[in-house]
Amino acid sequence: MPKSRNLPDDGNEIDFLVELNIPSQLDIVRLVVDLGTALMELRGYDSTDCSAIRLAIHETLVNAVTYGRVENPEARVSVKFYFKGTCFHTDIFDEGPGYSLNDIPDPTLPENILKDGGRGIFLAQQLTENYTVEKLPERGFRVSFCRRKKT
Amino acid sequence: MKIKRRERGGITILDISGDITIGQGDVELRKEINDLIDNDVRKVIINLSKVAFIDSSGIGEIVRSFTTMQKQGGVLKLLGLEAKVRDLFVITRLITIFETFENEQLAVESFSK
Repeated sequence: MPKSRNLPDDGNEIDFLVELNIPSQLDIVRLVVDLGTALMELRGYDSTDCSAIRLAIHETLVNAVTYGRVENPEARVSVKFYFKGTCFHTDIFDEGPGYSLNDIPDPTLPENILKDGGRGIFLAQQLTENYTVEKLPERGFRVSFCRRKKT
Repeated sequence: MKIKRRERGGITILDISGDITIGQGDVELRKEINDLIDNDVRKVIINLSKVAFIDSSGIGEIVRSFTTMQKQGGVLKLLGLEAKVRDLFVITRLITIFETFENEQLAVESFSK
């Protein structure tokens, strides 16, 4: 496990790492989302935290499996869940073309607010801390985010 | 996801239960709205009180329902947004676009004002 990039670092070690490698298929997203949410519940995160991370994992994973298979239908998506200090972290790796957060239009602007789409990553960003998209050296992209437990 | 259609005071109410997510509910809702348009229904309330989870595709489909109805001279309002669903409408600022109600009677009466 690489050292977390610019994610909140309270000096604690990575704890309870769960790694998954799944096919790029929409029908498996629900299982992964349920697992991530269940891990948070297991550690006593409240329902607000769990709902927020549920949606963030869902939106990011839907994005990953949808675009990750554009160039290769057999492409797989990797997911890591782990705890570090009071934060629950999610890393999602896909083989898609990736995107820059700077290129995502603000769906709350008047010219965008009545559009059908364009809210998924925005919502995931709003509901988590340090939502980052990083191009990997060899191929693919990693999306990382976390949610801090309320004290 | 399930959609139950009923009428109250001349207003069509769609009671939605379950999740509204990509591939699970968004298509059904689009069909339902198109059917209402085809049947000249123009006053609609979507009741979300039994929706536990909605994603951006589900929200997008509700926006599409709203704009479709609006383009046809109709009105679509929302009823019973559970706190976590409401939060998403606040974050996306859609709460400033939709008329929302907690009480069904008030929602129905609002069409005659």
